[in-house]
Amino acid sequence: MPGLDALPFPLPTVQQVIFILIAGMTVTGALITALAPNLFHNALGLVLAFFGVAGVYVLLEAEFLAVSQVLIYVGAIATLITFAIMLTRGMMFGRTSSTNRLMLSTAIISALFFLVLTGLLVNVAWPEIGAELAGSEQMIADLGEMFVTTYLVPFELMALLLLAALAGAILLARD
Amino acid sequence: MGDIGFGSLGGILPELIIVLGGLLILVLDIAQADRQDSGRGYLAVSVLFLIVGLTGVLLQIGMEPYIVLSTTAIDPFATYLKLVIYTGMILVAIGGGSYMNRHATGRGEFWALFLFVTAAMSFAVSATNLLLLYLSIEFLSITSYILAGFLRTNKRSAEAGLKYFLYGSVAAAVMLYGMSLLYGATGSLDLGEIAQGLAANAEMAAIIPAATLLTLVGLGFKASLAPFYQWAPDVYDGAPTPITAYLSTASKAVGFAVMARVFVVALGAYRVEWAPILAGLSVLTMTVGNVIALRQTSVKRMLAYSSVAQAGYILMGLTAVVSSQQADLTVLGMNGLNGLLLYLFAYLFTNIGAFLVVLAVEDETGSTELDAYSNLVQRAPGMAWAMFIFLLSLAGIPLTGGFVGKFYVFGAAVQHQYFWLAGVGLVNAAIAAYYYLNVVRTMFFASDGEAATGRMAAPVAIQSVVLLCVLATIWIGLYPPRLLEWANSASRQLLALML
Repeated sequence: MPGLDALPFPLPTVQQVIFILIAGMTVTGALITALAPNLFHNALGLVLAFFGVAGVYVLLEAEFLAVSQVLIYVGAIATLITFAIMLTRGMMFGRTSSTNRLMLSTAIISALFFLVLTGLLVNVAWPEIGAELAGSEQMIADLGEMFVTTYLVPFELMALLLLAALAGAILLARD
Repeated sequence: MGDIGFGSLGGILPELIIVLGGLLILVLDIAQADRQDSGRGYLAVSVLFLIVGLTGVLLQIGMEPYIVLSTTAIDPFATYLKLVIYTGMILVAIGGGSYMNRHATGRGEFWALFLFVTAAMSFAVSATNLLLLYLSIEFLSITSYILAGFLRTNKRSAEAGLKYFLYGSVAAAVMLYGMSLLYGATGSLDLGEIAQGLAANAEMAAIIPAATLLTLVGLGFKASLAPFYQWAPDVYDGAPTPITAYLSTASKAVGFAVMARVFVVALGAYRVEWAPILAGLSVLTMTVGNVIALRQTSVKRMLAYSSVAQAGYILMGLTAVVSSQQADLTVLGMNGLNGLLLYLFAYLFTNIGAFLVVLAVEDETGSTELDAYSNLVQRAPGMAWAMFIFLLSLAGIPLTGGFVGKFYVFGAAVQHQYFWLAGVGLVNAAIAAYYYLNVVRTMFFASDGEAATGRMAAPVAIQSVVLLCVLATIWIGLYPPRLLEWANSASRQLLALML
């Protein structure tokens, strides 16, 4: 096909097309989360964004992370948020607004922040560091081993943090 | 890596003891049938475990630095800060414990969280790995949100908890951006390896300003530095006073300690870049804190703003780590970092003491306004004189601990040619003296004697802790060599890690 070679830009690969779709989905979800006027729609937008991030993990060959993302963020956290909204009358049926008088300045600052981060990502020659990835099962085994060796203290501290957060949440929410 | 035996846990034994204490209290609370329990037993258990933890830390003084489980450093710097943290928490527990027991629902949870937050701070100051560092700071933050909002029936307390939470979660998220930039540039979470990675790859210098600023948002939030301080007055003012006492001392010390470790160990080679940023923040912090503190009518809120201003002075110490002459920092008498450490210790006793006096007055009159302090010297002479000494120390008058701290940070700034910084600091110290002495005037020379009826009986626990704080403040002011020695060895050890 001679016509395709004459295009001013290279054709995207399949992986790039998939990435663009996933990225579009993530950004759409994030925008719904930030801008939709109904709090319940915000929560649903968040679910969409979580799924998108899981897709990015899959593209990066981090399947385990992707599964965890779906299980924890979509399965647990998003469900919890939805429940919290549905059980709170004022939030479910009352008027909530995602905008206030700081909307404009926030948007400007966020845009600048985005530009700075993008500038860094594009212009810095990021090094390629790290060993070749092991096979998927071996990778999960390595991950588990890291949890009980190098990262033992953070791992145990995380468990304690969850306990403290749980105790505190029950205490603050109890009637 | 080697095997993990019980022997390798020896280094973190103080933290383990504290955590076990917290778990014990949670279990005791479940086993407790009496819902109206006074909570006095939990107070005793907490103080006991904290003292055992402190003893464990004291035994670690003078040890050779080593790393436990590849993420936690047992070194003089961490040990010094753990001394600050445990001492502070013990003082707060004894002095403010009965107040919390009287006002809080869920006393078991309170004391368990109180011990957990101590362990979290303890891990934060010894973390050498960004993952542990972030986790322990989050642990500290989340527990602090709960504790700040612990008095659920009190609207101000609930407001404090919520504000702290909203502000803190944004700050933590921004900090993660900074940390992920560092990780992306070097492929490592270990602070030392990050420094090596940055040194090996000169192109990565481009991310340093962004990584510094973003990380600083989260750490500056903990230390209540100027652009990130807005939560501090409302939280310090609204939170139960014992909680305010530790938030403004131990928790702030953690912010500074982590900042020092990250900047010196991981980003030490780029100190010429970050020192001006810190100098700017320092000036901004002390000026904003002092100027707003001038207009406060509530003593608790005034102390909150003054605590912001004090953070500015403390930051001067870290700024002065960068010398304009390329001298060997480790042999200098005033290397900046030892000033920061000394200041934190002196400030601990002074501020906890001051907040406990506020607590005693609040208990008696139900008010933290300046009016409640009018003629305090006649109602409670001991409390008034103690407050007098704390305020002198906060203002940095000689013979008090606050003076020694200020002397060393200002001295370091002058020695390292930051004359303008020291100058701004001095002007600020003069402004601060005005509002500190205003409280003294009200306590000693108030004209209207209406409020001055009846004696005020402060609880013995508060009296004894306040007395201890007075003695410590004067001891640091009069005879600091021992403390100076600890601060020197801690600061030299950390500065020696700088590439």
